Amino acid sequence: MTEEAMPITEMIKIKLVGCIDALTAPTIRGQIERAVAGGARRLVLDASELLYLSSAGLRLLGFVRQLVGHDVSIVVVGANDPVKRTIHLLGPQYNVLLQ
Amino acid sequence: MTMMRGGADDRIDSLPTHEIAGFRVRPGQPLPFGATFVPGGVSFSVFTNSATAVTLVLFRRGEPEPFAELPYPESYRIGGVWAMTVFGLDYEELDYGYRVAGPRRRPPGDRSDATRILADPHAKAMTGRDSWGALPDFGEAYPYRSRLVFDDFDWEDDRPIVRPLDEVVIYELHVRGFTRDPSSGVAEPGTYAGLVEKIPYLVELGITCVELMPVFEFDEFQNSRVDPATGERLLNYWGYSTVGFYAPKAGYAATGRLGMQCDEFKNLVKELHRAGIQVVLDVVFNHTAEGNENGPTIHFRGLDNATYYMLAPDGSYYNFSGTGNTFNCNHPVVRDYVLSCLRYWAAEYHVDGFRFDLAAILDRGPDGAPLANPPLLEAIAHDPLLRDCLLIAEAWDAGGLYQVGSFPSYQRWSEWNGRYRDTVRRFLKGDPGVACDLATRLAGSPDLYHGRGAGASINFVTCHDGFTLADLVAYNGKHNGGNGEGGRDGSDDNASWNCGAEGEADDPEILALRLRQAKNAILLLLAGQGVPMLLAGDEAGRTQRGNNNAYCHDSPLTWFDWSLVERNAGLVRFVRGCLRLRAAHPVLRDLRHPAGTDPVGLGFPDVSWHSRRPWQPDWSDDNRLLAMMRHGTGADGAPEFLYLAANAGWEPADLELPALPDGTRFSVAADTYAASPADVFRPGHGTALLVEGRFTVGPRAVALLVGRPHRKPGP
Repeated sequence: MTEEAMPITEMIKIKLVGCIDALTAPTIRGQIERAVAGGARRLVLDASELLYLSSAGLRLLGFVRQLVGHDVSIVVVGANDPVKRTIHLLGPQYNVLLQ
Repeated sequence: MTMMRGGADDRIDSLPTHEIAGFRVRPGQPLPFGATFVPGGVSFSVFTNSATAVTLVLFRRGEPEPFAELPYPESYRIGGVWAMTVFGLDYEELDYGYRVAGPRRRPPGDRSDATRILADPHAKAMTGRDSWGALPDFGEAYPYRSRLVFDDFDWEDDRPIVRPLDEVVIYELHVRGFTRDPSSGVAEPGTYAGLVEKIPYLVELGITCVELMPVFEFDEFQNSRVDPATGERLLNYWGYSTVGFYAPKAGYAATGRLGMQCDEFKNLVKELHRAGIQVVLDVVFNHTAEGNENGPTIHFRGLDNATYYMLAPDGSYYNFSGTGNTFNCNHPVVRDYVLSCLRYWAAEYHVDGFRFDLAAILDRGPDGAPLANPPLLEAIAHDPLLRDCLLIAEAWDAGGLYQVGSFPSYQRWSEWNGRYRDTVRRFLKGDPGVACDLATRLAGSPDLYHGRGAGASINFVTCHDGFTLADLVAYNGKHNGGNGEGGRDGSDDNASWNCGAEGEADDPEILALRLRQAKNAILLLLAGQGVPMLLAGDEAGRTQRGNNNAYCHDSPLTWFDWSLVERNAGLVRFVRGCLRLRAAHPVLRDLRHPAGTDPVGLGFPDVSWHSRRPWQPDWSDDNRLLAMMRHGTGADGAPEFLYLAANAGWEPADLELPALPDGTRFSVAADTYAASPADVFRPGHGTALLVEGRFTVGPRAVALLVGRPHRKPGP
């Protein structure tokens, strides 16, 4: 798993790679925390290289939502079908948009 | 293994003290029972009074053989509770269970067997039946495995709905059957997620509470068999045989394969609440899936058979449930288990209430005798966490204990009113001598619930158990051949009437009569005193083709065919309209039993009885006509009169109506004899009487009139 943060004006883009599960979620969580610390109005999670999102991974979305607040839009782009399905079924509670 | 950091590494108990089978461990937390996340690890706590040794068995998810077995040191036991914290586990890839060794000299009823792996009775999730209907390996030694669950969930501001009983309209549904049919059009048919998509339909219909048939983990393949006549595999479709009391049914989750059933179910509750709909769970504590002496050993039997089950002196199982065993609900340990379980669902899943299957068993003592003051029922009634929960008893069991009207209520419990069901059915089919009893049922059954109010009476004409409403008016007898039980299953006492032909018919007169009879049942149900319950699909004429015990059919026979909503749009509209009327008229919802008093001061009692002549009810056996007038204050503060006329005779009846105060007139709010859309009107938009002071109620018809001060037309 790797992750990279690229502040672009008011948008922060974070790339999610590999699997997000109970083993990797805490690390990614820390990286996202640092990435959004400066504030942003739009958070884009690039999931084009994300293979799998487990229950712990889903919780990461909930954590991020609480972290950035409801004024910030969270968009997941490029997710594969299983990830998309998981977010579609359980992500709406976190107000995460799929693109 | 990877060491997980729990965020509280400075705690003394976040460090291991021993190593067992290559795992770092320390004494666990005896309470709560089950698997609990603690800093750096998981505490596994299990109760067993009879064990001499306990071993924690760990599997990698889905693998047939365990990768580790960790015997609990004797020093990790306090009393009968064995607790051990294990560090460095991969939470999401772990299945676990226990081996329990019993004493060499077994006391009567002991069934411990260290060769078996037992599930955790407190497991928050179970795996093994993750995808509904996926054929399992029937030779699997440990088929129902315990799993760890993250319990964090963003509920936002959601909390259980606290709603006065008079606003509750219950809709009993089967999670899978509600959307499994392709006609449902949902993206994830047959799942919690699918049900979410149908919430707008429930709101539009006017439902305020869904009662979900069992959603605790069960095995749909329990007692499964193939119907030799059709080749259809028969399943335990209803699910009244619990495997995991703390675990939501994974096979009902679109995400069950991913182990996210808990999140998906929570999301369902949250979305229902967002729509203003309460969630009541149908829970089965009267027995478990372990069955009789020949049943599988899943958990309780191997942990502490004599504690969890009612046993005869020879160690055999008492069978008050009709399924082979009886849960020993009033044993202090089991009482605590049941109560803790209910609290868990109320606190963790925000559910709003429970309907208890065969609840009479819950007031039996360990020897099977009914208790005068059953501690479990009392504890549930007074529990702080459950204080606002609906508590509904199916107040009978399969051992002959019938407690409708006498179930220990502690002023908290309501009951499925089986007598209401039977009386309404018999009246509608035209049985003689029923009008008097119908009056009592329409008035909230004060004979049964005196001092408790009509809120104690959950009124229903149909439920999952028995005919659907469409079948109630289309079949004289059950047609359960497809169940493969040689016609021995299902009730033979249905009080049903086919209206002239058995089953499918194309005679317009028969079809019209059936439709009217269905509407009659709906209007009586929704205009009478008590808490109404509808069976899902009845509003659209759902049929099970005469099967009155369709517990084993996972097929279009039991699924809701959503094309019916369009094909029977008139019936759906009628049900919706009646629910609108009920919501609009507080007098209809009043849960106070008739007191004979004048609530408004206009000289009219709260409830009065009539027939062809006002104030002259006919209680003779051959009478099939009854009118009830309820009087009180409307939503706008004006006096109201609600006149409900029910005619089960085959001739129309010309009624002289009670004279109302000056300026107050009746209008027709609903009339099942009229064709749609003139069969029900929006509240406040009823049609005027043809002849002032008189109304003709059609043959086999029910009508509701509303009397209100007449508003003069504006300039």
